[in-house]
Amino acid sequence: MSQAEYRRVPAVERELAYGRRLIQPLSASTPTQLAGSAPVIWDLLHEHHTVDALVAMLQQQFSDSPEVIAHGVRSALTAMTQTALVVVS
Amino acid sequence: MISAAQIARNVAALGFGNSRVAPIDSAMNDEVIDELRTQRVEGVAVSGVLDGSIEADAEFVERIIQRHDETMAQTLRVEIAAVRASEILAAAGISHRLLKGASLAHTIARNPSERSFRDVDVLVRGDSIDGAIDLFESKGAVRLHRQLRPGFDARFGKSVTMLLDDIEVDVHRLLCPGPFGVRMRPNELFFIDSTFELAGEQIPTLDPTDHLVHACYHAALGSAEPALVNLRDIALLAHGPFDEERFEDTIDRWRARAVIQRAVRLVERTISVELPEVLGRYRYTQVDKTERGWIDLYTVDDPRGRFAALAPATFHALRPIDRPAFARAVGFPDGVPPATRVRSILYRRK
Repeated sequence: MSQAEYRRVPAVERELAYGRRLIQPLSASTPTQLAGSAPVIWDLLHEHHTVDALVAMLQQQFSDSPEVIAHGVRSALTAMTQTALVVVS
Repeated sequence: MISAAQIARNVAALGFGNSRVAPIDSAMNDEVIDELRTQRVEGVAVSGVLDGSIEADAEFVERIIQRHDETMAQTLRVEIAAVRASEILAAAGISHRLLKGASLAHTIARNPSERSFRDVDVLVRGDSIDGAIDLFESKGAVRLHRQLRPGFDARFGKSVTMLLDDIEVDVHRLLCPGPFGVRMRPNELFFIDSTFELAGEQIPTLDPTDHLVHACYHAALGSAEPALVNLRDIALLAHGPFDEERFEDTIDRWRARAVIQRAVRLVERTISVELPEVLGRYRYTQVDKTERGWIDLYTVDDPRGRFAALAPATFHALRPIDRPAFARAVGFPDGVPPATRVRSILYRRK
């Protein structure tokens, strides 16, 4: 069975101090703030990606174990899905 | 002690030879933060405190970042309205160009977060403006001021201000009102196709040369003391790539040397940024007495007072064939009984 793929929705965004990112989907009335590694994941989601693909790409940027990265990716995707920043296909 | 106004001017010049701002006295934190916000250079200030070119205490850093976060949240709301306005016009096949704010944030600012904006400005051709207004109204936008007389917007108006999703959208026919507006040839701003990407959409805008022309018009003719962000726009555009020959050609054909002269002097005097020679040479260009008088009319800060001040000069700048219709619309607008209008004119003259 193929894995779910995630992709961000059309949105406007701004970088904030300390690596944070402010993002507002075109259909939303308020923005969402991303911090930590979430802005990096957001950037990768300009194309469809599975969790495994995201983890593989992030492993090249971060020295954490695959398990830790996968946990972070899943948490970030859950939050982004709940705030309608990403869609799942 | 260096004033808050001077600190803001130094911030506006960051990146142009001025690599540091004098340390900010803690006692002035409130005043400086307010001034940076008023002048809309708080984004540049945030970059400055983070890269060390502005020295300030921890309280200042925390507060300027918090204020900037709030400003960016509001800027994103406006940016969404800009995307929507462009989509509405594009879907109806109305050729348009997004001006200033979002365009400059994404095309010339060092980082979009350094350039905030409060409204949407979009340029359409004169023969499209009535259709554009009708279209926006059909999408729920509300016009803030009624047209003086039918046909005034398309023939004489500079812009129509509307509220779309509670965001101000100025639908422009010209880059400025008054006699210098009469002299410009706005359809030339549609000769070159330029776009930038926003939320996955290609948004039409001006090319850098036309942006520079507009930035000069806006700073020189928009108010007596333009916000520092508008002077920084000129500095950024002038130091970026643009077509010098076309810039000069446009200014000559639009007979706007007085406009560029005031813009150049404002930038050099206020934020002390030296401009490239192609602009610098306008510093001492010959400007006739009439044009100098016109410039003074634009610096009336009350918008109603400015319209009244510019009306006679606009009348004289128009072709004789257009003057009766302009005079009738300004003198006796629709919806105002002639007797009331005469009384108001007489009252103003006393």
